[in-house]
Amino acid sequence: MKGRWRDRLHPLLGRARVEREVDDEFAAHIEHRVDDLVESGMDPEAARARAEREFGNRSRLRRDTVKAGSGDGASGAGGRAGWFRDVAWAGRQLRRSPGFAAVAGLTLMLGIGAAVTIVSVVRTVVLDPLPFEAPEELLALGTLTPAGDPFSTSEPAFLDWRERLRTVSDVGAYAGRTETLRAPGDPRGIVRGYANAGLLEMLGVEPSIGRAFTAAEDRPGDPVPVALLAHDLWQERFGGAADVVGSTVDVDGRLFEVIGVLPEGLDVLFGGGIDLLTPLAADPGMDRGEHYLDVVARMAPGATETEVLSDLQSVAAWQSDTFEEDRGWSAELEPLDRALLGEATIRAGWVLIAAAGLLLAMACVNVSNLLLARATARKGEMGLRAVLGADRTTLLRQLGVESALLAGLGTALGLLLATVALPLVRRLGAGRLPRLEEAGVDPASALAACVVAALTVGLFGLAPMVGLRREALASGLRSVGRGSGAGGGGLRRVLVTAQVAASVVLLVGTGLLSRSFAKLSNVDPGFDTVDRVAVALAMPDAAYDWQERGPLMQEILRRSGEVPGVEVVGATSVDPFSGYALANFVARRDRMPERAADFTPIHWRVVTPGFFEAMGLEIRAGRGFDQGDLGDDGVPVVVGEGLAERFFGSASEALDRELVWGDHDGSVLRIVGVAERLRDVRIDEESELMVYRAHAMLPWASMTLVARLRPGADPAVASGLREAVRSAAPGLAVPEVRLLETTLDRALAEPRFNLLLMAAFALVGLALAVVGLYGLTAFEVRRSFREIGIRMSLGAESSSLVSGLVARRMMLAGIGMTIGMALAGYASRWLDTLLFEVSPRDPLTWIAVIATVGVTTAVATWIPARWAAAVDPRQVLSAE
Amino acid sequence: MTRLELLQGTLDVLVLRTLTGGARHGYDIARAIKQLSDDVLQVEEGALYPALHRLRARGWVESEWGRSEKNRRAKFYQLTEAGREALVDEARNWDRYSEAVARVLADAPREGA
Repeated sequence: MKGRWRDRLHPLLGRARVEREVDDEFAAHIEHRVDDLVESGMDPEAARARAEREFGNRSRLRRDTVKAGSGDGASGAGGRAGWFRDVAWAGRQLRRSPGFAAVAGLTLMLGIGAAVTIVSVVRTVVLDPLPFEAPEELLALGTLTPAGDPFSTSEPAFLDWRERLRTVSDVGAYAGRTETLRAPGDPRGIVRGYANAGLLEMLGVEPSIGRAFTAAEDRPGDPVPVALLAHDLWQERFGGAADVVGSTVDVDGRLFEVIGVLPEGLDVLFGGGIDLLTPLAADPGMDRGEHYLDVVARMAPGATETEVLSDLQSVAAWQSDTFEEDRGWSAELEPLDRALLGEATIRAGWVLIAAAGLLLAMACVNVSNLLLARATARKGEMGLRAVLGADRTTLLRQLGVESALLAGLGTALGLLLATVALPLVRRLGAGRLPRLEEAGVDPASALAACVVAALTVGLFGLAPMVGLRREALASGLRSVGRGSGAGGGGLRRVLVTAQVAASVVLLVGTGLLSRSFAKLSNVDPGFDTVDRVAVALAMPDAAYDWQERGPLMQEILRRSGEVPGVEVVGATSVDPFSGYALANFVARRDRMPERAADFTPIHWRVVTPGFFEAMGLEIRAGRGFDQGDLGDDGVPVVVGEGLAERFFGSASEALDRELVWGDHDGSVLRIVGVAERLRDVRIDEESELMVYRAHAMLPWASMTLVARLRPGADPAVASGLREAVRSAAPGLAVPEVRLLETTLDRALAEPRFNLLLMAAFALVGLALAVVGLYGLTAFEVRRSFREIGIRMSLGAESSSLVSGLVARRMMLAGIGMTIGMALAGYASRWLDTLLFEVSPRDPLTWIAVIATVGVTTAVATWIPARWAAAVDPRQVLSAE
Repeated sequence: MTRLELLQGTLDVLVLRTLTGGARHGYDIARAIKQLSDDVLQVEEGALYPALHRLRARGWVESEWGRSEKNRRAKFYQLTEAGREALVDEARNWDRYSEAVARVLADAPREGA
């Protein structure tokens, strides 16, 4: 437009030119005045004279006008691009209502921040595919005992599967064992992984240096001593040297040639990770009763899980028919990710994601409510602007820009929060949750959260335009100026109800997990952890033979017991909470079942004299082990209380009774003692049926020394224990001494991690609910100022007004709570597997939640209502 | 009825208001204010033209030469979007101002002494 160009160039036109224009303008004015005066009947001469006189001193006026026209803003205002003006306007609108902008911005920040953080963590830890090629094709194949319990697989069974399965393209097997690295460097315990030659290739994993095993090196029963180093061991013992290939390592006295270095990421397969990988050399002639392998398979192209399962089951049926040791055993499969992560972890992941979604939804509902409340107030403004000639598209555009600004602000703050929160979350769960360290802000979830926020704010931000029609506007300002906002009110009530409902669902979930965690923290693991330390020992076959280990263990115990500060010392084959367990089958000797399948599966441990005393496990009947238990009169065993009660009715009844170990031809065990129940595998699972066997009879290689210290003993005891072990067995790996308290603490890490996240969520959710309910109620109360004023001036009691308002709001909250409870009742079923000794219908939790939401709503209503009713009615009326 | 002189600053908002119906030239603006106020408000040329140029400098109006209804060449002013917003703001301020003044003066004597 020409005029605009002129405006923009105004300062450049030069003073003379501007003055000429102003003069022209004045002349035009005078001419128009003359015209009017002449029209009204005045003589043209007289008219001109009068017009000139009225106009006054032209040169002064010209100076003033030019000066005014060159004032501030002359150089930009007219030339700013439209969108920039809109953004500036939107910024002004938000600045003008800082309370609204702050609450809406913070709400979005909390909602988006929490949602993005949690989804990022859960995706990395739980949902992301394994770091293998085409992970969806990978299956974990497992053996089932005759009783239907999952079990490891034997070497011959793995070889059968590899040979006979038609629906898979490849089958691999692996296992891990604790051994001792003797050189290079100081001896230390390592986990040595065993894998068949094709495993890495099947997973699509390549060594980062060197090569994988060849089939020739994996020869049955006689592996070539070659090894792949894990990344950490390579760094630690070889300084990350690139020319490590060709070096040798000494594992328990055997030399292995290093042929390469493993990439990172295999830890997920081996649970806690491995230090070294050597060929498995599975032997078809091995004992079929020796179960220790994990088996993984890749589905053949086009095959389905169901086809592989029936294929596997028919091979297992053939094995059961063909081999005595496999009689009654069968097989099962699971997708590899589920097998490695566990159903409970995956479910926990989904629960957390659902909670995150709920929180984001609550934040959006909250912001929607705020925007709707504001819309009512702004209808008047919009109406006024429309009457003043602003067209609908302009208003829509401006509101759109304002919404975008708000959404953008909230999203930016939310993403900022997520980047700050993620390192905290990582620290919270560090060590116990695999791959947590890798968690970073997940772009997909960040994008999704932004889109949800933008949609919400965009949709409800335009609410002031709803029902704003030209016709309505034409009738004047008054009709729109005090808009009743009835439509918005209805929607607002729906949103308030939804918010209350969402709060209930979130709080119920959190409440249940909190109660569960409290129970878990108070659970009696059966043993005492205070002033107890544990030392893991490995006495490998290659270094110590079967006969040597018993005396060696005795010597270690004797020397450890002499360390100042140590009261009692004993040892066990199961390192507490290492996740490692031993299982077998027993039967009462006097009631031997006919079929091996009917033997009872049990957990068992090898322990030394002193173990029960050191752990603080009470002996309920009989005695613990002593040095004389060498098994002349049947093999002496101690059983757990659970087994004694299940088999014989009571602890005392169990004494001197006999069990048969493993199968019909198994050894006979005589019960000499009954010990109290123990939880040392997982804190949330009791090892109900337990058999303890004596190390003197069964000199197990991997043992954990447990020492009870004098109360408040000096930490220097730890180094004394290490010295004692070293002097008793010079070649043994130098053991680390751990506090059992720390071990127990770590066992609680995962449930605590879940709980802390949920608790943080619940706090944010509760804050959102309170802010939302309070804000809306305060707004509605202010809107009913006039009504309150009138009714109070008519003599209504302020207390009745307050109770009326509270009652109306509580009814709404009541509906919300009812809906919320129904939803929570349905949703809490999903929490079942995550809960420990707490029912999803736990009455305490439900009552607490209902009370919390109810009281919150009541207070959020009561405060602004009181505040309104306390105002002088005259003031209320005049303000209106 | 006595005519009132305009308070400083009030003129701007009145000028903006006269432009809501479309473009007007200076003389027309002065006339419109007079008419809209039922002849109560009288605009001085000495204030009108500096005001118009000030508004243009702020970007609230823009101007263009054109032909008036009497076929005279004149400079026409029209509202910009910023001008519309400014009007909303100014009108709101005016409401608060006038209500406040009205409250203060509510009980002042109105009849001649």
